[in-house]
Amino acid sequence: MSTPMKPLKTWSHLTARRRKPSEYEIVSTNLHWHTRDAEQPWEVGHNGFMADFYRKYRNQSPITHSDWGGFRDPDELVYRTYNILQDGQETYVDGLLDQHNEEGHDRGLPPEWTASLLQLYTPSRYLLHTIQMASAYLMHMSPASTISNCAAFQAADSLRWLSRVAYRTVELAKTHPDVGFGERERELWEDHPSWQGFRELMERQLTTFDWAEAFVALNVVAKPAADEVLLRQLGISARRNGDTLHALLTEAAWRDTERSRRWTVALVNHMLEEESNREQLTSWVRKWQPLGVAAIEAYAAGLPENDEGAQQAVGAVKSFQRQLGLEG
Amino acid sequence: MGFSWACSLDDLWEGEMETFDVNGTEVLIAHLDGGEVVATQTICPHQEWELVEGELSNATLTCHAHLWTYDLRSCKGINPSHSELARYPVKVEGDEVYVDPDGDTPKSAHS
Amino acid sequence: MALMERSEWYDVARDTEWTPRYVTWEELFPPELSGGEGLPDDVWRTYDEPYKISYREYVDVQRQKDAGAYSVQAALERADIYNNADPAWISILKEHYGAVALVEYGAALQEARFARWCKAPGLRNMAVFGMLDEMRHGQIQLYFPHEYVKKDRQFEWSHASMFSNNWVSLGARHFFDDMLMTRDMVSTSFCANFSFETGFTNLQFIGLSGDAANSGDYTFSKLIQSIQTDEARHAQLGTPLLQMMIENGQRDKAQKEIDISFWRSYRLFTILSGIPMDYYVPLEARHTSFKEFMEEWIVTQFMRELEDLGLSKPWYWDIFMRDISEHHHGQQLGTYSWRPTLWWNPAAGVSPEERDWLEEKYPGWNDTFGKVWDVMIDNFVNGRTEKTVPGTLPMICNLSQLPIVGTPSQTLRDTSVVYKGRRYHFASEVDKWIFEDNPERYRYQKNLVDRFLGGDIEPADLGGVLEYMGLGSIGPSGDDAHGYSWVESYRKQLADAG
Repeated sequence: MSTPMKPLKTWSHLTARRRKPSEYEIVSTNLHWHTRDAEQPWEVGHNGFMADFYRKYRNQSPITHSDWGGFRDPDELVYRTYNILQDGQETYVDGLLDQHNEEGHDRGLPPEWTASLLQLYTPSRYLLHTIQMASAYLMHMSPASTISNCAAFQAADSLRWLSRVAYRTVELAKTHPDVGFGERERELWEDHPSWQGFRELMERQLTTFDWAEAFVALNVVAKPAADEVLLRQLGISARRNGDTLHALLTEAAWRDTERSRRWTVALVNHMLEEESNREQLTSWVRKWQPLGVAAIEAYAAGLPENDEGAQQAVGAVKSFQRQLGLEG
Repeated sequence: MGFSWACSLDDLWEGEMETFDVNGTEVLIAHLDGGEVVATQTICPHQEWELVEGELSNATLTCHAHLWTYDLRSCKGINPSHSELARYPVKVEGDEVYVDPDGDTPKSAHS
Repeated sequence: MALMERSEWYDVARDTEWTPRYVTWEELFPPELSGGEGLPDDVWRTYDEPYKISYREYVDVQRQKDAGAYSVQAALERADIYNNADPAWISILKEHYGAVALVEYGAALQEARFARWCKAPGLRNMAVFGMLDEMRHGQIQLYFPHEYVKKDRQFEWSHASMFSNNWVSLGARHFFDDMLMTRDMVSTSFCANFSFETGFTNLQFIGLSGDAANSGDYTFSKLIQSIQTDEARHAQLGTPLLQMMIENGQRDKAQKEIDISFWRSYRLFTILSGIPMDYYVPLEARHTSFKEFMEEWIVTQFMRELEDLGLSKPWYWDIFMRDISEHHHGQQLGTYSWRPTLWWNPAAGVSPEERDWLEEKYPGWNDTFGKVWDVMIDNFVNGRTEKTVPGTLPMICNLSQLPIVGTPSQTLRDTSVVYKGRRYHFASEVDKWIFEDNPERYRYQKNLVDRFLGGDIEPADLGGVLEYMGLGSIGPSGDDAHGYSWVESYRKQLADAG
């Protein structure tokens, strides 16, 4: 009773192109079965909160595309290669920390600079954590598994640097016990003027539920803004204050930033394949940009020996958005 | 009850661990680097896996099933720290190892 | 060594709770998503996961695990399991990958929900690793069966099953949507991490791993063992939450969620693990029965864990203890009879020697289930193969979406209820109890029979049903794994007797 059927060379949805699929394609594409019925994402609670949530914020997003599953991560990362990549990077970072610790690096940091690190660096674990949460949101709300995976790795990258900030917080406290490292970060994140722009930006981003708007607010505005000041501009200040370790750490972190930007470019391009999306995307950039600029300016005002920091960071964010074809 | 003969150090070289029947009780005996001999329960407190299938590195025993780790010098859990192993009294006379299998009871722990 | 130990900085990394100013706490953590209503706000930062790991350790350990698992795959390709293993073993692989691969990836979304919505910052960090773990399990369990796609069209189901209307997929989707994706974070953690992962995944990933090694499939054995080593991290997430609930006067709520998810998990595993373990695994490799695995992992270990926490056995414990000797035998009879509806080729598993094994493990089997097989065997022996496949659909449970089966010669009671003008049928008292606890959650789903009778399936005959379920398009219909060669010994018995 069983009719013989010819074996396929790969999953049926990958056969049309008649090209040998890569490992990335085999394990990453078309995994969101809950997109098969736009009306009913789940087979329980048809009128319930979670069904409404996915209907409204994913399936009925104003940003539409006939083939979300066609999106590809330009880095083609899979779980296996992500670990290989990041294990190597972490080994490098361990080396930096180990070597600078041996050399007594932190003892040479001047008091004005350790005060700046307390104000502008160690509280960043809160900011990184909000980016981690926001990336995890995109992971479970994106309309394609290939998008979800990029967001998942971005969440993991955020936890990576959050962990290194925590590490440095404790290490700095050992050499400079009176500065307040490991004690004052929450208070500074919640009350210090340097952080209130980013705090508002991220609190509002985290309560924005349309998946595409959340993506724009995070990957086109907030994260680029955060990376420009926290990594690049604070890195410049660090070098000018003789903190080579900090400067090297920010350069290492920048590799993850570049990867995030590569898939951001790819996803915006994918969205712009449908010309009707351009206006909505642009309007979101316009909506979020003032919060992003305000966050940069509040933070950069405290950057030591880096008066042009704010201007540089705002310019770099705008240049990235120009590259995306979405000028705020 | 008291000590019973468990094994000889001929059977258990430094760096090795093995399960032995000591007077009717299965006991895991480890010969740690540096010479200390430790006797503990054979199964992991987590989900009843044979610890002997795990890895012994210095004094750290890692269960192969879920990578729970223990410090055999203290028999306390390293990860998770709330876990612990039984620790049976050990006596080494020459090359002969004696264990008191009633000197403790196997522990269990949930995740 | 100038590097610090993890324990020195770990607490700082999970100290990320802050008081929002620009939005409210409820906007940041809506109750429908975050759950845990009634727990004091200051309890979340005390969340303490027992098993700890840092990002740095994670990428190192996981890289090594993958290196091991993938190298076994490469080495074992040369062993050519596909052509050398018992065909029933290949059926286990097909059933497993089709039922598991995409679902594991789906669990990555569930963990991502935790990483966003959980109010406990420590858990949010751990859930990032849980999310990565589940991506691993989805990806590696797509990569391995993809190697077989070129040889056998039925492996296409590894990717396709969750998109199909096959009855097994309908049951699996209903279960995982219910457990992983449609409850608040805290409830989901009890269902997914505690009942499902801490309890039942051991059956499939450890129990079946031993069977795989006995059957010579070391690739699969190592693969699923390697998957299970990740569980210690994310299966533990629910336990401290359960403790928080119990300590804050919400024991009954937690108990009910465990009772619901425990039963639903158990019944799904009767098909996923129960049938393969007792009927498909080649007899010489089959040491432990499904019931024995259940007794070890669930009845003893999982129950001890429940009781350690101050929870009780589910109220239906007596029903459950009877069920583990019976239900999966009924499901085997059903699935084998309706074999054209399967995406794999089922083994009958009832040769004379196998029946001896079944009778030994399940005394009384020959007088109950065996009697039905006697009739089927008689039909096979006498060339009436068409009579061994039913022409109509079975009753299907409106909760589990799985066929309603019973033990032959014992009364099969119709357990049903009328709710808002529609009659719902259930596979057990427990399924009915779960439905009645929250009918709005379950009432709208149409099971396969509802769809058939409601005209959703055209043409309205067995051919139409098979097509609707993807048989003949995604892959060929299932048929006896051994091409009925096992019937020969009965034919010989008959000839000898005659």
